Amino acid sequence: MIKVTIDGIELEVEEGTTIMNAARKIGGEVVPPAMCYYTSLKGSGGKCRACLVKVAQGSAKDPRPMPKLVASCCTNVQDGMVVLNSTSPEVLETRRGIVEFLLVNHPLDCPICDQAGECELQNFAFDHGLQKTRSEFHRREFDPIDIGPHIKLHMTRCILCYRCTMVADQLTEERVHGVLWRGEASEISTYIQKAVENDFSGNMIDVCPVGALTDRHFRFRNRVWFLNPMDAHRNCSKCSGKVVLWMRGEEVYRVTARKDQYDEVKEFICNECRWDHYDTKDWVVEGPRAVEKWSVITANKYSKETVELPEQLFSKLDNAKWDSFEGVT
Amino acid sequence: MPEIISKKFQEPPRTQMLNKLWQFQQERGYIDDDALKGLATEFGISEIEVEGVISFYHFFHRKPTGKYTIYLNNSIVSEIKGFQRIMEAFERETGATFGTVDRTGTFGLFLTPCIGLSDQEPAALINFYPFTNLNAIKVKDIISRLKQGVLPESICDAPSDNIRYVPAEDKSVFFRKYQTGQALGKMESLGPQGIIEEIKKSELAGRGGAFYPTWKKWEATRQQPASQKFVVCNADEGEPGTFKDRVLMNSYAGSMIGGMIICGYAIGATQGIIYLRGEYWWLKSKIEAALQEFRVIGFLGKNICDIKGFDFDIRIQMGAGSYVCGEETALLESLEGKRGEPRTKWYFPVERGYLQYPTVINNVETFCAAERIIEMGADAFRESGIPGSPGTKLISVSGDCKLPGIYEIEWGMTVAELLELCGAEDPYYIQVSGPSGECITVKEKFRRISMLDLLARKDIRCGGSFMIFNKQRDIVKILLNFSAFFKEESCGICTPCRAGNFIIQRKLERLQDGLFNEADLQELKSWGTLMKNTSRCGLGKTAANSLISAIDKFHDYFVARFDKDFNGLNLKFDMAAATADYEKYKS
Repeated sequence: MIKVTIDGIELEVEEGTTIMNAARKIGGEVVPPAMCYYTSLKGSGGKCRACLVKVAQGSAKDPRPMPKLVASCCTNVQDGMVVLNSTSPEVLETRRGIVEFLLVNHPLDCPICDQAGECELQNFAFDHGLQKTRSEFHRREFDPIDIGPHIKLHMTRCILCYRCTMVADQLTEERVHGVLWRGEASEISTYIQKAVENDFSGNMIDVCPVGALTDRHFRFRNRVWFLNPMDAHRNCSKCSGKVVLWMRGEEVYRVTARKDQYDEVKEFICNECRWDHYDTKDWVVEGPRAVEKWSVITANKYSKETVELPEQLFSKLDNAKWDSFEGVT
Repeated sequence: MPEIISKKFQEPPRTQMLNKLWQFQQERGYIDDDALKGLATEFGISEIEVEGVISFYHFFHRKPTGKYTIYLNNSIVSEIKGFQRIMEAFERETGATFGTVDRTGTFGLFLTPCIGLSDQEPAALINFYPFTNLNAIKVKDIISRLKQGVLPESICDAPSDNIRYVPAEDKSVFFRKYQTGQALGKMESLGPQGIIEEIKKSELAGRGGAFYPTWKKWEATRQQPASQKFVVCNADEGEPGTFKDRVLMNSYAGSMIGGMIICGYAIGATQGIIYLRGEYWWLKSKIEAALQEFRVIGFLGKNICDIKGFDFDIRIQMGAGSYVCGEETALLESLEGKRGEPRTKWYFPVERGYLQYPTVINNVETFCAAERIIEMGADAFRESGIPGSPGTKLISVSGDCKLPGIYEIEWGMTVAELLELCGAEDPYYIQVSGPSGECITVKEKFRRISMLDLLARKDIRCGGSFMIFNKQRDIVKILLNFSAFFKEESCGICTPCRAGNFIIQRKLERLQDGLFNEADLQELKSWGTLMKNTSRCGLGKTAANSLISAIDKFHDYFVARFDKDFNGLNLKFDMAAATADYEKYKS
């Protein structure tokens, strides 16, 4: 075990832990934001530069500070390392710049984007960005394309985090999803727009931090903050079957995998769970999903406190009573 | 026949990706769907992945590029030497426009950044054969001969070395008399550790521009316990205005190869790879011939120089048009047949490099210097330099001067002396170490050139090139050329470099239009600084260097370029164009 200090908080972690994961052990403000890093996707990280932190002391052995900010998702902690995240004005200043860079080619079409309300870029910009922009140049535009019957790719919104290509590479067998060209011209593309016919392809939607990949069955049907996310599960031979049902009244609008507080899916779900079971009868509903209090999804519904009620209560609730949760604050 | 190393270690098939793509590109003029599908099947990867690799390198095309594919250099030196006229001449003579192929499919015209011939601009590559010192008449002549069916290889130029200055014979390091294998004979008596000691004593530092102590790389690789190690020579000389490696490989290829063999012996490697940039196809046969000569003598192959058990061979890998592949980890990715995207720095290449095996990557000049050090001894090498900066330095000089070419300078020479030597004409703006380096004004001409003082900014630490511009040259145009280059060459994997270069180019275009004020200039600088501080690899970290230093050093020049009446409103706003979509929709 080695010692590391992040924003003045000391903790012990195992050797080989990244700064990001050490910070996540502490939680809260100390955790750097991440737009491309995804724990379960091998090779992710190091691209978006949102998680840059200052290393004020390299290690106990070599106490020199690192000359430049480092990407916390792909830098391992050293014994005696001192890291500054939210306590460093330089880091915060830089992060504002990264928001600007990310928005240089990202349209501000949140009002018509299905991702709004659960968009990592929206949250990142809200937390760390400025309210104005200095870029007044034409953003790149692409026509949205269909990737098979379930997924829509809206390249205009893509921030090139490469997560989806890794899902295609690591979760699905046949890789038809990749990055073409280079530099500012880079784009995610599907080879000859061939349908991604794999049982786990739907997870590309969940890992996309922005609205570049959306669920064709859900597009324009509802806003996430009008929906009640409910934890549910079913017996599935292909995946864990643990999902979130996004409901309004009796109707299931969409099914997604469960995300943790860092917007990451730990247990990927199969396409059958995602798209073939819109009937609540197919599911064992566990109860309302805990949603971070600050999230817009909690608006006018329930707060984290509600969820801390005994779990048994929720499992006993029948379908008709869900509506009564609306309005609870 | 000399004995060829029995392949103990087989490089995985995927490493042949670029070679295969080159084969299709050269045989058919482009990579068609069948070829792509074939490659995907052959390597067991998806078609999109092959497509991703193809689209990363700008010498690979998915559409026919004509019987004669012409790449005209659009770097800044070419631009000041009459690029515009040559471009027009090519379009007039071939009937094609740049970026396309003419109707008959004979000529394909394309632009490419610096092709390493800055001393003989304007220059172009036709089917990758060099044509230098172009003018409108020459272009007309070339095209008419090609139309008659003359092969480009039979009429191409042989670029001269233009070695303009060499210190006295005993002080020269690179251009002293060369005898094949003189240094190799000393290998056995020194032993691997002895070689590293000698390199350490010589204080040789990486001549690619980073000046990292060479012995540290070699020692670290030597210490790695691994079944296989590699020596990679970085001959991807992509920095515009730099052509020193071209000259070394053209006339002293043996020195480079010798350096690689010595390194291989010191670290315990059996395989060396020269990553040669696609622009230097015409040098490939020369290097191949040198390699063959070495094999015949017994300097490559089994039991080299009668050292029992020292087997080593070298192969050449052609790059395919990507500046970022000069970044060492991007180069490794490219060698492995992938998109040349720099790796996340979990490990140094000396720990896990090519195919995850310990790898030494050095520049051509570094290997040449290493070979000479073993030949002449570390002490003599150091004596030819100054304290802290051993040896000599090769500098590519181009731009507004009478004698563009290669200068082997003694460290400690001042900028003024170099300008005098090359016959600089009214120098005003000098770009040191290429676009990613820094710019200096003529007022700084008494600064010395050395390896020292990177931070103190007293001396100029030069990676290898001087581009000289006189007072008539438009500095904004120069910077715009650089930013267009970086925008084109950014791999796009990290946000700051992808978006930053785009923004900087857009901003500079506005500056060129006069739509700029002091606040804009400071904003431009802040974009640049941000990109510098946050980018993932050297490309993004250095892309704004010259811009930032120019804003500081040529502030008055920029102020003079502001439109006096500019009040922050876009005077050149084109209302009709801006509302075109709306009008179309309305009707």
